[in-house]
Amino acid sequence: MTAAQQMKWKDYKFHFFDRNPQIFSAFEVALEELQSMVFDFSERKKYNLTRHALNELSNLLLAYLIARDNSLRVPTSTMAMFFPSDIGFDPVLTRQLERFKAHAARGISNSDQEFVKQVVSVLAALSLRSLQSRSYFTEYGENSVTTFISAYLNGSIRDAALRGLDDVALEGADHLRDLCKALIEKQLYISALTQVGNLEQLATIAVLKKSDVVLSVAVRGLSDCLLHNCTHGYPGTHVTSHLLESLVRVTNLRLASPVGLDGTTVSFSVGPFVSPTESSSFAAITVAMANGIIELSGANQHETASRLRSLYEELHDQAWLSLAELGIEAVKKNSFLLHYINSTIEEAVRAHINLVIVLDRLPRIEESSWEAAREQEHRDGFRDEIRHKIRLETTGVYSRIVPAMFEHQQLTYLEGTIKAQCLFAFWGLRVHMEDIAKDAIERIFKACTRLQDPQYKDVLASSRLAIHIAQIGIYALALEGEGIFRAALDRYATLQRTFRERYPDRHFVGEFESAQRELLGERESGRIIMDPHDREFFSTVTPEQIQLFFASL
Amino acid sequence: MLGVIGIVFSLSIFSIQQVAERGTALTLREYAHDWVFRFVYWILAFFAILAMLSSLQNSKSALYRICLNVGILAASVLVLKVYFNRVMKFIDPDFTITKIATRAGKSLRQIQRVERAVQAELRYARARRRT
Repeated sequence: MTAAQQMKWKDYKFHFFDRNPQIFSAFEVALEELQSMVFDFSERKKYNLTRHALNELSNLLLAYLIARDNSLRVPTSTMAMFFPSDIGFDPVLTRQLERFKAHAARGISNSDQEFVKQVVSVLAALSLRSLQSRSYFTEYGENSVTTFISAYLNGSIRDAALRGLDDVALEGADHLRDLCKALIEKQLYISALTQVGNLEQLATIAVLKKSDVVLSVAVRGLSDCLLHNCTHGYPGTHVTSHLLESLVRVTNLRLASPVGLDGTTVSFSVGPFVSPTESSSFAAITVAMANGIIELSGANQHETASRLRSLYEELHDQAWLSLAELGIEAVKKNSFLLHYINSTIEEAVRAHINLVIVLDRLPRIEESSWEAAREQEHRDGFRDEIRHKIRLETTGVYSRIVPAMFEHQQLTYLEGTIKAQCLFAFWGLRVHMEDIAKDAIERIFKACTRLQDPQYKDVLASSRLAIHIAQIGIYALALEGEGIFRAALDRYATLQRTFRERYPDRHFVGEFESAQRELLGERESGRIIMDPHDREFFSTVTPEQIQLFFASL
Repeated sequence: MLGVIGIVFSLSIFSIQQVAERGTALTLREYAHDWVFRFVYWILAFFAILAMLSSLQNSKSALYRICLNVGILAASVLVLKVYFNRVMKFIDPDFTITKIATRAGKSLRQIQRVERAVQAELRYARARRRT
């Protein structure tokens, strides 16, 4: 059969079923009988029977969807928005979905979690399996049948979450996640974005209901979808940016909650997104993608590597700004979230640096063909883009967060943040990005200068933290970065001088005079160093270089 | 034999009704439309008539009559066993659910057959137009 004939048959089939709805009468009567049985048995709380009846209904409706493939009257989202409303929806499917909705609503009002879970599971199974069937009205990037069924699924989950049926909400979040992942795999991006919106809505309800358990599962669902899109998706679909925006919005909302976000609650609420130890956190996704790009670039799988590179760029396109905004909000609330943001950025920058190092080391592709030349050009462009991203995610983020700490006088996490700057400076020097190190020195210098002001109630911190400027200078000395060494020396000396001028009689542990002794002692102690910043420093510098820095003051 | 039919069907309807009241009224409806139920009813009725007719035969064929009656008795016991098993199934609501679902599945397959027939008709009409 030719394409034109198929098209005609599709039209004919649609009109045939549409104008003869009585064909399905017997089928619908049987479905209605099963629905009545579900109602009867649910009233008597006979859950094994309701499950059986619901499963049979699910199978029958799936068979119906497959039988009506390409002939179902389900308008697309564009048609729903702009076309007259008399287009209508398939009556058999709509009636059955309304019955499911009624069952769920009755279960929710009776707080019958077991029954609602069964109904939600059936709707979820139906949504997933409806991907095999398409509407008569088609639209690129959308399966309107799935979107239509998932609207009922989401409605039931949302109502259950609002009613405080956490078990249903937990399972529902998993169903929405699975559906979103399946839509991403099928490249149905408009439908996938709808599910992202649904998951965000569920997370918002969880925040409003102060249920961190549900929030955690919803955030994990969004993070899993982000990971799935980064591995199976394609660039330019807006799914990544939407997912990231949703995750940031939810995190911001949780931060603004009166419950607060302290050390114990971060990992159990928004942890799946911000904790680097989680399998689908932002940091873990970045690391996994960087490893993938490195592996594929070396294995000459140009097509896949190119897709991953574009997805990687997309993931980090606006991430720095979102992380900076989140960081500022965390500073305002003095939340432990800032520690997680620091760790996330640290892991992301580490992945960027590894990428730059590996891409620099990769042999140039012999430009024998047009494809090879294009791959080399993409690779070079990507490396430059990553360098730009490193600047944004270090200087761009912390030039906002560190001043905010002083502005809001929240210095609890300043030391950790300064240590991170020092680490970024080390890495910057490794990949010949001296501007990163220079910016880090300036940020630490400004922070130390401001700390000398008694209003911050910790003047000794100025001296304690200044040691990091010295460390950057010594590290630069080890890597023969003369300019950075001089800049660090100058800033460290200035801090030392101004501190002595303001507080001439202060002597304390960690003062400027003891810095050299401290560093040498640590270097020669032979202890196992766990801190990544100290490990990087002491594995690179020699005692002579430490002595040379302080002797040059 | 008629007494057996009366007692068996009355008692089973009573028990099915009890189950239907505890579960769903559809059980009773499905039972009433069940083909095994009808088959057993008609086969027992047939046996009753056969037994009556055999008793009207003359005394020369006594041996045949005895054999026939013994056969009818054995077949009745077998049929009643089938019937009993069927009633037991109807008491289980899962069976009714499966039965309704099977009916729905059959009706859908019938629609698909109609669809294929229409498609074939359309193809035939097109082929005729072309020739």
